[in-house]
Amino acid sequence: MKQLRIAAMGVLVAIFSASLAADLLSPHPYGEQYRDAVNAAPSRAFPMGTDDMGRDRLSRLLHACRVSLLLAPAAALVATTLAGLLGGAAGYLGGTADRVFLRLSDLFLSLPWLFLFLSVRSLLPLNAAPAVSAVATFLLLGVLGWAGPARVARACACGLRQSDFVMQAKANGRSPMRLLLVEIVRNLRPVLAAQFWLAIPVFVLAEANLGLLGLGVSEPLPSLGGLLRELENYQAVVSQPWMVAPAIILIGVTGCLHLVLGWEEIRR
Amino acid sequence: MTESLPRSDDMEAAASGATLLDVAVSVDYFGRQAAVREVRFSMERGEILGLIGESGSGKSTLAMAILGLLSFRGGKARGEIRLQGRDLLALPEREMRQVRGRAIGFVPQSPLAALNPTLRLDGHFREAWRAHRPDRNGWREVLPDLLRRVQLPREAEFLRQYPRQLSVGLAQRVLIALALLHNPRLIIADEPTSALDAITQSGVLSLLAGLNRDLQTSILFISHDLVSVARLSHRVAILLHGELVEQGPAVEVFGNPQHVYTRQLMATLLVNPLLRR
Repeated sequence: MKQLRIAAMGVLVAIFSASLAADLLSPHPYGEQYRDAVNAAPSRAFPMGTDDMGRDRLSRLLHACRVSLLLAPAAALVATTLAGLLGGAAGYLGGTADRVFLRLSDLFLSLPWLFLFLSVRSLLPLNAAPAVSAVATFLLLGVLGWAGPARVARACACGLRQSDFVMQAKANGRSPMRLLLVEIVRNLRPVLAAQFWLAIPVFVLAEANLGLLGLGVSEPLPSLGGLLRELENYQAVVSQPWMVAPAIILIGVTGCLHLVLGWEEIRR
Repeated sequence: MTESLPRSDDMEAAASGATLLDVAVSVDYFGRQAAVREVRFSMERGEILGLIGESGSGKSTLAMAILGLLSFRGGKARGEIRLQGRDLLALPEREMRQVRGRAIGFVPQSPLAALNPTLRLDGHFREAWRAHRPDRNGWREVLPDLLRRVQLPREAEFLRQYPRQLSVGLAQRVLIALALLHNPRLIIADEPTSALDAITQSGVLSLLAGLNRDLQTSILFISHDLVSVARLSHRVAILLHGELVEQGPAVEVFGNPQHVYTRQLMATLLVNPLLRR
């Protein structure tokens, strides 16, 4: 099992570093169209073939990984930070603040995710720049994804509120803000770290879902979701099986992240 | 250490005579009325008052009431708690926060649980300092003397340690140092030695006695350990089921107990420690 985890870590490092170095590794610009080589099979010039607009699939895959795998952790960071502050404050303060927090997070948890994203994402202008749409999509995921991790943080903060060291800090006359940040949120870090790692694959998949519906990152900027959209065409997949590569990468990254996360938990 | 930290409340204290603390209080918990019933006692400057009572008799409740922390445990105090003439129960939370740690220091029962496990020792001093002082790094100047007073190592490596790396005895000394950081008039020590072995316990008691002697710090020493109370206290108060059944100079209470419960307590002592003092 340990070797498996090390291998998973290796795969993740390889994919992340390849996506970071996308500009160097890509044989072609990701938006460049080669009109005379549309839907081409893999060749020396196009190692993974080209798509229906004549763009190099390998270059697009590398850049897609960069967009998804860098912005998903950023979104997870936003979500877990919000979760730590809101859940920590609610658990620490208790009373009315806690009740308001519980109802609000209930609301966010019970809303159908996909429809929520669809309606909020559709508020963005359709002609927004690709980079803006990418950042906006993941920012939305981060801002809307706080409720689940925040409930976990809140439950832990409730326990911390009654702890001796929080009482001692109060007896030292510490301000409520310092108490929240130093005594509560600091002690929530292991829990928040686990929530952070769990959120990354969820957000990668959520972006892919949005991408399938055309509401993710906008063209010509590739994202894993955008590339997966091509798989809707069954005939094309049968005739060009290399189109499946983004799906394999996505499954691989998600699986590897969960393997590595399991390792983190055992070490803790 | 103490000379460099003038007590801000000296003027006020001078006006109100020698009485430091005047308590006349009842405490209700949610769902449990009168956990403490009309307990009255007062403390003079530089006095050590030993508060004796069995578990659940309301000792810690009284400590929490004086610190204004009852609401966090679901309790409410009625009556008056006057510190140098100022009624603490009437103070708004913002002002009460200035009293905690600055005018009243607190030494808790379980030293290791009372330190934040994710914070190094110097972080504890930094945070406690920042609670009452605007200068961020002033604690670095007062710390060496403070650590020497409570017999803790003064090396930087010691302060870089996490609480889990300390023994219980060292942790309790750290907490006493934290309670002394702002040089308070009163220290409330809530069973500070109950988690310690006999030798460490003896060391902490000597330390508290020394603080009282050298700094004239008053100590409300809460304990169920009669020997510790007898060794340390000038006066003693006995708490039973939330009521104060007897109080007086230690020599009198230990030498000639009046209340039935006090007599029962004294009968548990194999050798009356005051006779050996």
